[in-house]
Amino acid sequence: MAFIELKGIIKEYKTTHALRGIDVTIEKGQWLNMVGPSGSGKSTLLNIIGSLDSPTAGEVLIDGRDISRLSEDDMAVFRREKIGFIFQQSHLIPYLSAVENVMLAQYFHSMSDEKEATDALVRVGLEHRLGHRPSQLSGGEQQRVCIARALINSPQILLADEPTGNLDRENTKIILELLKKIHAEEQFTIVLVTHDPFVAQWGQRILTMEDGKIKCDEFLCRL
Amino acid sequence: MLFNIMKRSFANQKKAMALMIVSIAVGTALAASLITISFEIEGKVSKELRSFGANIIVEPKVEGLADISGQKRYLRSEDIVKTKTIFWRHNIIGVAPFLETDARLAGKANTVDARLVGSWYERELPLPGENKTFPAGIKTVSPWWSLSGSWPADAGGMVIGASLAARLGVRPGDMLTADGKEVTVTGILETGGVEDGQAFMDLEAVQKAKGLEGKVSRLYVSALTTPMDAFAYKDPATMSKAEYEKWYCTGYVTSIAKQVEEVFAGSRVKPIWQVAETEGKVLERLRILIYLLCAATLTASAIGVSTTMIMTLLRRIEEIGLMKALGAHRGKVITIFLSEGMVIGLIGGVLGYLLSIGAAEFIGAKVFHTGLEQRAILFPIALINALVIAVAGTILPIRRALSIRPSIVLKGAE
Amino acid sequence: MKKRWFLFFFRKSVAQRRGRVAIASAAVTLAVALMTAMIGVTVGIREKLGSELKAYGANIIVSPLREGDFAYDALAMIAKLPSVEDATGQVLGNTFVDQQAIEVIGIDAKKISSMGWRIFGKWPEGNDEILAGINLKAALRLQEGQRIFVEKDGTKKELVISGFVEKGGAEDRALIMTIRQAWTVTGTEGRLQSILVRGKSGQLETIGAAIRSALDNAAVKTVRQVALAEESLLGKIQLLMMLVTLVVIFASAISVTSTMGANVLERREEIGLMKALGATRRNISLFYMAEAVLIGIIGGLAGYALGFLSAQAISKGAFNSYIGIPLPIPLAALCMGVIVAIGSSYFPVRGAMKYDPAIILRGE
Repeated sequence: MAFIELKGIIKEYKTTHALRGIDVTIEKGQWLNMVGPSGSGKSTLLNIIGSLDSPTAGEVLIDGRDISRLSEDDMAVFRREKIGFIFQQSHLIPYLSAVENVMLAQYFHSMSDEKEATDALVRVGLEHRLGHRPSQLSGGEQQRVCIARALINSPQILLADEPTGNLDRENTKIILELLKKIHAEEQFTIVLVTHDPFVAQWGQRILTMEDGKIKCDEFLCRL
Repeated sequence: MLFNIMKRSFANQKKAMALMIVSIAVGTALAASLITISFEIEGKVSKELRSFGANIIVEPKVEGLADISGQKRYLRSEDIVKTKTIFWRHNIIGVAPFLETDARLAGKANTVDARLVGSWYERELPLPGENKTFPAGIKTVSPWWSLSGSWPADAGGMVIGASLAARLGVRPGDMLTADGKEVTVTGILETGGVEDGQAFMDLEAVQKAKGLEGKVSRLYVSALTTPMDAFAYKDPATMSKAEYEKWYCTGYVTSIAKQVEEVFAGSRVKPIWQVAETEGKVLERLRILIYLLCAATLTASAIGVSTTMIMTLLRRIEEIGLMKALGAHRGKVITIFLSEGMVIGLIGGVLGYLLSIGAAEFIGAKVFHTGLEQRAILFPIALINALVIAVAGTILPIRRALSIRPSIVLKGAE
Repeated sequence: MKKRWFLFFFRKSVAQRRGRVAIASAAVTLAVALMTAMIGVTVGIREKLGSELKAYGANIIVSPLREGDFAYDALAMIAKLPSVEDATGQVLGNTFVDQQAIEVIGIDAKKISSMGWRIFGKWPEGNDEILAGINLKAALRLQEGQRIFVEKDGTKKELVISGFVEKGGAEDRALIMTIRQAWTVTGTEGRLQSILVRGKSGQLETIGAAIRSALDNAAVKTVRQVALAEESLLGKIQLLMMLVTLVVIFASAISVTSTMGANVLERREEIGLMKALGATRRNISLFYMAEAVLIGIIGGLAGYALGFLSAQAISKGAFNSYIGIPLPIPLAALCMGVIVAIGSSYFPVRGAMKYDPAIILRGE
């Protein structure tokens, strides 16, 4: 049984169908990229996997558990224990420093721990930026804080929605190198959404989506 | 184009708009209802104060000592209706004549030489020169009279005061003799005043019985008056022509008394000062109280509305930054927000005014059992007030926001 | 330990938003101030107006049931009864001027000048100065300062008319003097013919019963003219104040709700993020409720102070005296502030919980 199984996922809004029936399985530790034009439903699918959104129909099985049928509070517990999020807009709390932003993620999970948070930031190369506010950090640095925040509670799944969308090529490479390094060390599952073909080449598998359906599913020949 | 932007702006910010509209509506409603109430309250309380009794007494002019003890002088009862012809006739809401005579009353237990008073209890008098009548009688002047039984319908009946009845040993329905003639006790009167020791019949009946046709000893008048002030206390004899006219045309108890004296032949008309002055003081206090409460509430409500406006608009600083980044002119931004402010003000103002009518009606009905008159002029005032607040509340933060550089806004708002 | 971090993040949040917290507190302050002031005035108005209505005179009259009169010390006894605000005695009799019988009214020396009667001339000062009713002025052709001779049962006395009284009642035909003077002039030493009582509105029945049982030969009557009108007026005014207070409270609550609502409205992004981090609804609402409590406490305290001062200012302005505000009210105001802040946050926060994090985090 695969780690993540999506069966017959349909997501309807009042006027549109975002997802018209998605079936896909994702193995543990796999790095999967989702690509496709705007409106293809990739972000919606990402949110459904992360329990931020629920499908109109279908099952979302993670480690055997159908999370789409959970109550909102149970979803929250699931999310904090199993999922780490990275967004295109970093959504860092503007009045908290880098380390405090990471501690916030710890707070909802279990307990804030400054040492652990500091270590996480050191790991992503921000040991000289611990006390800085988001407005004092560059785009690339902000996203590195987001990575630290997303991984602080050792999630099993990292969901990234266009994490390099606002960054230049240089910073994009930095972020992707970082992800690759940590992914190799921690072996969590990554599902990453991007429209940048360069980014899509990182990772192990590319899922191409169009119009709410999977158009193409290729495995890249690398580890 | 402007309209489209506004429409989308509204749609995106449904909640924020709703909050601002509600806030202005409530503020306007509060202000308008308080103002309506304060306009009306003096009139209502004035009327209420009339149940303390007559504030003017009409007596025959006193010439000599005999007038004190002998009650030899009288007024003419035909002059009574003339009180409704004076300049302030609409303020005269009750008149009650009294004809004081003596009679020997013989009841079951005792025979007593008592006061026999002729008066009217409830009477409709013809309004001079018009086809209507106006209510008169004791009921219009002394509403506290408690009559168990009824006022005599003809000359064969009599109302006896409670203590007198006790002395005579009579109850309603009993017979007694008055100056030798048989009469029925139709009712017992209780007031807690001198009337409890007197006997009463219709004015005409007593006039006939005592040969005093067309005569009246005193007339009590209940009038709605303007509270006395320093000017009113001046002796009219010392006033200039202009001052005298001002005094005469203001409804002071003194000027109304003067006007009644002018139509009543041979009379001396005085305010009953204890009633008149207390009334004035109570009204004055209430007036100040209501004004102060209005001021406090209006200030608070204006500030309260502002806090909501400021709160909702602080979050839109980001939006402004975005607009500027997209190249919007300063003037255009102001126009957009100004238009929004005006729409909010209009909707909120109308809503608030309607609410205030409801509130004022409700309060008027519960307290005074009558409606409160709605002043139409309040509508435009309320509307303008709401518009001013809405626009001011929108413009001031906007101007501040416009001076902030967009880059700071957009970067920091993550 | 978790509490410590909660306070840490809470403190940071409030520090960041202190401008907004201040504005929201201002809104709550105003609401509580208005409520406090209105309630204070409503509670005190019966007493304030009541003392104004005292000028209408006694609402209870005690007179002899049968022939006779009262001993002077009956007055002191009645004045001590509960709910009796004032009691004054009257001597009623007559004397003769130029062989004509003239009524005499003797009242308390202290009360004479405080009665608020209209006087033409001067208040009596010396031992032989008295007032005369305005009708006597014409009847006896009197002037201010004139000396007259009164005689009864062989006793002659010389008196000076210092001024004239115009009341529109029996006083207008009488000589008005102190009780002691009246005793000399009418020959009714040490006795009172009537006792006028001013009782607390609403307590007149009880007072009447107490007088009847304490005093022999007493006929106690409510002066309906005063009592009924008073009760009706006070009742209406108090009802009016209560209703206006209710309207004000209602309006204030709505006003605060809209401000607090606006306060919450702009934090959607934060809420979305916290949800993404796995915060439950309870976790999130705890933050907002804590802020509401803080705002409530600040607003409650400041509001009470402001309301108290306002009520006193209003009372001084209208009635020239201050209102006593009972102790429970400050505590109630504080509670009111917190309740208002929390209550008015409840719906906005609940609404905020419903924000779809997916939509928020997606960005515009």
